[in-house]
Amino acid sequence: MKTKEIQDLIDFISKSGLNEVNIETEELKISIKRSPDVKTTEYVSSPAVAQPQAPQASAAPVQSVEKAAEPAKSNYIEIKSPMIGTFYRSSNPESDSFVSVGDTVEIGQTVCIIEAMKLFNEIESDVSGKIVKVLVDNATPIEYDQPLFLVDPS
Amino acid sequence: MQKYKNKLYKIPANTVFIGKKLHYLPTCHSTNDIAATLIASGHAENGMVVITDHQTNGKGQLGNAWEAKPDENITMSVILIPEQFQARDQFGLTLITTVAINRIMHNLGIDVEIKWPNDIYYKGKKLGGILIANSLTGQLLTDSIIGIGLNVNQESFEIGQAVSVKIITGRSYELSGIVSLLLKEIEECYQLFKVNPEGLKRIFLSRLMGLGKKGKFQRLPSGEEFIGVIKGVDELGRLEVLVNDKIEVFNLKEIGAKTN
Repeated sequence: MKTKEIQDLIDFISKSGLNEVNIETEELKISIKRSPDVKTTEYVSSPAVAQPQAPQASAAPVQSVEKAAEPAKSNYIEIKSPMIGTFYRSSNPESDSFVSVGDTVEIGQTVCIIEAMKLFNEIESDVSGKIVKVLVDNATPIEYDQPLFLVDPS
Repeated sequence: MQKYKNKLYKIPANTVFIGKKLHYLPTCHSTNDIAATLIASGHAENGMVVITDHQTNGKGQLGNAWEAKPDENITMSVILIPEQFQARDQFGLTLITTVAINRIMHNLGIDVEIKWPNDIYYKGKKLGGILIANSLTGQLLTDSIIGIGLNVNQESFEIGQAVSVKIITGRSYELSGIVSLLLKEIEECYQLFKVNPEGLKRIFLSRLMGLGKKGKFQRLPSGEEFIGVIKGVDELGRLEVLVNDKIEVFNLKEIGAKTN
């Protein structure tokens, strides 16, 4: 890219409504930013006042599978499924499992993928500790709140 | 500028947050992978778009290849980092994206259908697809990568079941113009979902392939055939089918279409 081209690009961006463009090619890496001349509108979700929203959920039979919680045998913590879907231990059949028994996991670390309606969800651990047991087989269906991993937090 | 003429970083973004920041690569393996790397390294922002002229290793679902010739099609990923997005609402992302693509196509005079749950079809051939990857912590969605593939100017496909806008209308299109409109539509559909998810779902249903028509299906994995009528989708995106005067709800892997 010549200086002229970069100048053209800057001109374009100044007119375009873009705030930032990063371009990466083999020969160059360029990042052009402009400070917005208008105040950006922040999307703030309206306060949790009782909104006159249609009670859409009420019509649908909510199937929350309430499982009788087993009495805690130990101090192990379960990582539970936040959703209905299919459980995958790796991102694709060729790659290694995200975690295995004996591994240490941190908060925020990806432990599995749950697929539902072609939406692929990386599940991040909300606990830290050592994986004691993987409770679900790969590529099997799981329910909401179903325990997936047993973690020793100590 | 010649070398970069018509390249896809020149996208006017008449939006509030979708596509205001653009990460452009002349070529890359997969925009979804680049988006994931940007998120992991802390360089992503809500609404950032990763776009390429040539995606060499595009992904369909579960590792299926997505074939797109260079400079002829749209391959991009939109990064969302919402503040309070419940994991259970995630089918909304499919609604937002499929409806946005539908509206763009409608504006071009093409009436496309949505093949449940998320493919864009025109007369039985695939015009576009989306691949959404989320990260969840607890009950919240922390980020989402919405990968969009749209066949625009490509004139022929090695696989027979694909079609492009050009094949349908006979005209060529400037990709940046379509991307610009698409970003605007995605943003509008996103806002609509926030205030009126049922309204967005109604639009989705109005374009859903097979809705209200009697069709032959099979239960999976058993393979048992049955006649049913698609009535809609539930809040998780599962297909609602009327079978023997009773609504049954099907997960993706529980139902297949029988075309013969």
